[in-house]
Amino acid sequence: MSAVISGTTISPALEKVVDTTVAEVGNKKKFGIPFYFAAGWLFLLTFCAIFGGILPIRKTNDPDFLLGANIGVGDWTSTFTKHHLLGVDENGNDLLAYAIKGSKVSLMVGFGTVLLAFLVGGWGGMVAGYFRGRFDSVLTFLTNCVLSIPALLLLLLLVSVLSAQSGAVSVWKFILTLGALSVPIIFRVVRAATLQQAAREYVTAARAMGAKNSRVLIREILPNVVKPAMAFALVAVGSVMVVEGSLSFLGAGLSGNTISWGRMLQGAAGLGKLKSGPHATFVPAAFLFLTVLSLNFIGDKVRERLEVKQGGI
Amino acid sequence: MSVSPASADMVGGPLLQVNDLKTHFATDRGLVRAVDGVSFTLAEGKTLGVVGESGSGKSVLSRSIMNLLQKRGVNREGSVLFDGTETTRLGAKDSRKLYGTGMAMIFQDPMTSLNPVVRIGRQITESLQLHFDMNKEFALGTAEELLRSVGIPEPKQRLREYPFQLSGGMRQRVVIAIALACGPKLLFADEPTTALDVTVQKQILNLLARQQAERKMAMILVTHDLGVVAGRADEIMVMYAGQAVEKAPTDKLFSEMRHPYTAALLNSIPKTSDPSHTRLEAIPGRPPQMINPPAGCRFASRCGYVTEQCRTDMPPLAPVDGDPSHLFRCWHPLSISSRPSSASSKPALSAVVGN
Repeated sequence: MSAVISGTTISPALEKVVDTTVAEVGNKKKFGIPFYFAAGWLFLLTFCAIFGGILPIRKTNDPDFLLGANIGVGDWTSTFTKHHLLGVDENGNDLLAYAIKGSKVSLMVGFGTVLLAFLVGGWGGMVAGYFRGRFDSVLTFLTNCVLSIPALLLLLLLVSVLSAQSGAVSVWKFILTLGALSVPIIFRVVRAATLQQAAREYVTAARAMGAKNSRVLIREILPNVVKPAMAFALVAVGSVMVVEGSLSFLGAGLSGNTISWGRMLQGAAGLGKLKSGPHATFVPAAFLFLTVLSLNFIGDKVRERLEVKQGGI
Repeated sequence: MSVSPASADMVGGPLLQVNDLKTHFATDRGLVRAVDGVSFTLAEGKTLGVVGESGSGKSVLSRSIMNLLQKRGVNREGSVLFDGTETTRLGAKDSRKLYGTGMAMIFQDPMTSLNPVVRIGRQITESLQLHFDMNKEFALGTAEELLRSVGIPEPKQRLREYPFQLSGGMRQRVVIAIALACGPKLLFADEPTTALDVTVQKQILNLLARQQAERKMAMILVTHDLGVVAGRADEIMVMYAGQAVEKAPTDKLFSEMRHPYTAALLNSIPKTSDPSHTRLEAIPGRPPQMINPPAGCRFASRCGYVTEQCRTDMPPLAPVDGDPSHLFRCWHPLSISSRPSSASSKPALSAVVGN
């Protein structure tokens, strides 16, 4: 393409050289092997979470491994068999099956919360950042109010209210709670990005061609805001999963029959239990660790790619 | 100030009639008078060059005529009569109908005036589909033709590309294609070549001139460079601190300039005819504060011919020797002998046209 700028013709061979360099710059950096490991892990996990019910893994609560039968003190290693690849906890539950069951809940909580927060906070942030005015002032004030209350305190409060009402905190209620508390953060991120984009000339250019505000917002600004938001969203999913783990571990998160990694950790907690069956703690912790690490890693890569693209503007 | 009468060679009646347009911004420090009572008329197919340094209000003027400025904190007065319609009284919906088909604008920096994450094809077809109800395929075909007409090679491939895959000059061609898509009667070109390489500048200006002639489109060419408008505008308006200080048909402006600011602007362009190491004339000082502009002539603090009258009384925009096509705003206009370049006008004009 560059060949014609000067108006003169360049030989086809040279043009090819010019075109390939442009293409290489356009293709940006390579992802590298760790990225594919991270993506592979998340893919595998999602696959197992979705198809966990039909996978050839032992059901939980295997009657062969009832409490104490195989887990004596210092004897937890004997629970690793070909039927129980990751061992069995003190209640006779297969840890692999449990971790996969838990991954479904943990992934739902992580992605569900962030999705909810983006649907509410993202739209709010875009509308506030684009139109400004009173709407923006009110929303910004409200988010600042929410953000000035310690998040943990607010969470404990909301969760205790929810559990007092119906006895148990279901996954959906938990997503709703965490989502509501994440809205202000997402609002701020998206609003800032929108403010930046709304000042760009392409917005004026779109208006100068007769585009309505809604069209400018959806067709022009949204595609520019979505990509940086994506990078942030992936990291946010990881953080939410950690929050779920911590809260459930403390007994202030999910309750009832729901199995999540946090609840597995909660069940395996205690110094004595850590000694008699450390794998019951290690397995969910490792799942959580690997998942959050993968999410952060991919989030970083996405951001790096975006930076290259921004630089190309 | 009254409506400036159309010059004698204008035919077909005025397409755009701007009368005493004022655009003031309310800021924390006070009211900024960015455009302070500007009037002009533009006939169909003609070009008006608007020249002035940074902050003279020339960009705000074009945005104000198109009503592209934010509503909040902006105070707009005066009348803008476009093609028989008073646009200042139009609602948002009717204004939008005018954009693209009536007036369109190309911007200074093609790096920022194109959406970085939207394919070029969609950026062109967007307005075609909006205004003409074209289906996507037909709009894409039209877009391809448009790209070809603005001199972009392999237009079909370009439609699928993103702006960052093109060079600056190519991007500006795309911006022009977008602006021309709906066949506007009036094109605002807001410093269309300022962000481009010198070699590309001329190509873009020639492209604009060719398109303008083909489409019989009027154009308002905003620039800080007298050289850009010299050979291309039918009429030139020189702006300083939100006001028109001199307005004349291009030839007349260069041959009989009356305002010291116009002369100073012309003097600050390097000329190829000068010997090397010639010191470039700059205008000393800076433009006045637009919040509380001085009572008298706004150029007074930087003018070499300043007198007491200049500091206290604002000179009116008056015709030269009763010639209504040449207006200037000065108490002490330059006489023929004190003009900067030389006695003859031709060197002044040709020197800048050569740029």
